[in-house]
Amino acid sequence: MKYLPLVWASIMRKPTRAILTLLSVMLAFTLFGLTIGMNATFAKVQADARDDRIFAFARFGGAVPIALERQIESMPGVEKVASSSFVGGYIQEPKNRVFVNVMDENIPKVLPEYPITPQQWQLIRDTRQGILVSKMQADRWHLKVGDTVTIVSPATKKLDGTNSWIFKVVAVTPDMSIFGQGYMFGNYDYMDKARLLSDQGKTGQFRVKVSDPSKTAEIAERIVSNFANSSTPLESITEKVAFDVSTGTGMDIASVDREVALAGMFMVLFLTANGLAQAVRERFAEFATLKTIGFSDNGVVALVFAEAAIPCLLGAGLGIGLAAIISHVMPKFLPPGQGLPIPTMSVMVFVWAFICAGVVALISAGLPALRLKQMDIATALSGR
Amino acid sequence: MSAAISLRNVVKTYKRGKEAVPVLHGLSLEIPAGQFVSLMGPSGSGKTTILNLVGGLDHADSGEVIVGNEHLESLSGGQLTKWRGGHVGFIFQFYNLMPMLSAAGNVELPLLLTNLSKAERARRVEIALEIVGLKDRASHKPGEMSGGQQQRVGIARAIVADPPLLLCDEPTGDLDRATADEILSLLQQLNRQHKKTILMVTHDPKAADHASRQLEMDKGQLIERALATA
Repeated sequence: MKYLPLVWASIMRKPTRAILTLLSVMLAFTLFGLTIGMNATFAKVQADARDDRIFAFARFGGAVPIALERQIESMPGVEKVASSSFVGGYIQEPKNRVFVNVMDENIPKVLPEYPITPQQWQLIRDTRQGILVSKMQADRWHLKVGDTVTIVSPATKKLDGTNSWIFKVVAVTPDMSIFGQGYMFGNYDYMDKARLLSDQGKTGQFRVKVSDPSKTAEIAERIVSNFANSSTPLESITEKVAFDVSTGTGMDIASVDREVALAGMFMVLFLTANGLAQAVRERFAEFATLKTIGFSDNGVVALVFAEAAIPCLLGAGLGIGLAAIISHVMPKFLPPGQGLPIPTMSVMVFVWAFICAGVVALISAGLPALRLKQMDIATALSGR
Repeated sequence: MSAAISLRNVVKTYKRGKEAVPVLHGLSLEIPAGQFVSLMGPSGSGKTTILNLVGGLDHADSGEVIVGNEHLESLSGGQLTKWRGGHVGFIFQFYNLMPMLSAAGNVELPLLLTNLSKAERARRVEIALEIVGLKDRASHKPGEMSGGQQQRVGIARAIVADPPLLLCDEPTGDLDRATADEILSLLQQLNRQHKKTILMVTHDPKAADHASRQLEMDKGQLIERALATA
């Protein structure tokens, strides 16, 4: 600690340079935090994905007849099937986009891990217009139990010719990481019976639960083959595959994220290494003086490392803190109901940031430290 | 009086490109403890080389360099560094202060290497600054002080760890006559009152006159100069 004033004075010798370096390091670590945090989100979604569930939906797009639910459920190995559709629209103004998942009564058995009690599920059965609103969405729209909310859904016309869907909040439920901006769950039956006759009896997709997880892939293939020649051919995909962020994008998003984070780290590395090399070059005679009056090689190297480490660690802390704030407020600025992932600022993200900051400081200090170790004091003092 | 500094048959040659430039060829010198010795001579005569050898900043090619009871030629780089911290105070022509530290911060630097408490370090810094007459300038940075004041800070830094030997490389080379005299008087005071052995390299005969013994380097050999009489 007694060397801290010396190190701090060295860093602040050129305040503008020090502050700009700190800001650059901070921004790089903000980027690092958000990308690694996004990977943490993807990893969690992937880890939480169940290996005993399948998504089944229309192969060529559009709705699926609800009647297929019973047919799929009767297939060997299938334990339960639930339908899931949605009413997508906005509250008051088109920019206030929302998305209500409407599901049938089987859903609690297919998605038992959702943090919703049987009593809460029952509430949307008992109240046709009832919706379960997650805390995040309730906060966003200032909703509480008993409130009525009108969603204008241009894509889902009602039987009465309007497209205003009225829902009643029956419970505020816990958020789930899989729904980054929160969720609203409603009653399929209400949506189905209230919409145009031509649209009734159809749903968006099925969630299929199988009894033996080792046969999930096989059953998914059987669903496809069984309905290949029906009026609505089906496509199916296991939940594990569906929740893999790389699926369907043609690239490994987690790797891309890591590479973006790595690019940020290289930016910081070049910046701090260059700044430090310049600072040491400018103060070569001062380091020679320190060595003259008794500072050891290792002592001088430690000072240089500390000079690199302080802005790196401070910038990492500030940058990750900023990333955490951004992650926290991001849901308020993103269109809700789109399922857009929000970075997860887990402890590991912080740990990785500080490890990377330490490594960057170490590498940045490497060359200047080597130069100082090899310094000929007499030559350096003479200014030659 | 025992010898504070003893150089015996010291040889030192520098390489300038492919060319070998001999600077000291079998030089011997004895400086008893408590002497204030000035060392003069033309540029390139080897004055600073002697200072560097005595200060443990450089190694002789052959011969013995004994300071106090220590044979410097037998010490490793790390041992020399540790030895310098406790036994030698350096005073430079251009002061070599850390511009971002206050006078007190600069003076405290050698004490950071000791196990002294913060309070004890502060006490010693205060004493050192008082000796050089800058107690009231402790919080000033070098940029806020005159050349003479900066050199006094440099002297305070050299004496704060109470080393028996002070090595001065042109300590008044960057100062006007009046200020130079003040600095030289201060060195005399350190020599007489605080019993410091001082070896001072200078080009200035008037500065050399402040020493109790004057030496001159000429073609790699030392010549004893007679002291100027008042």
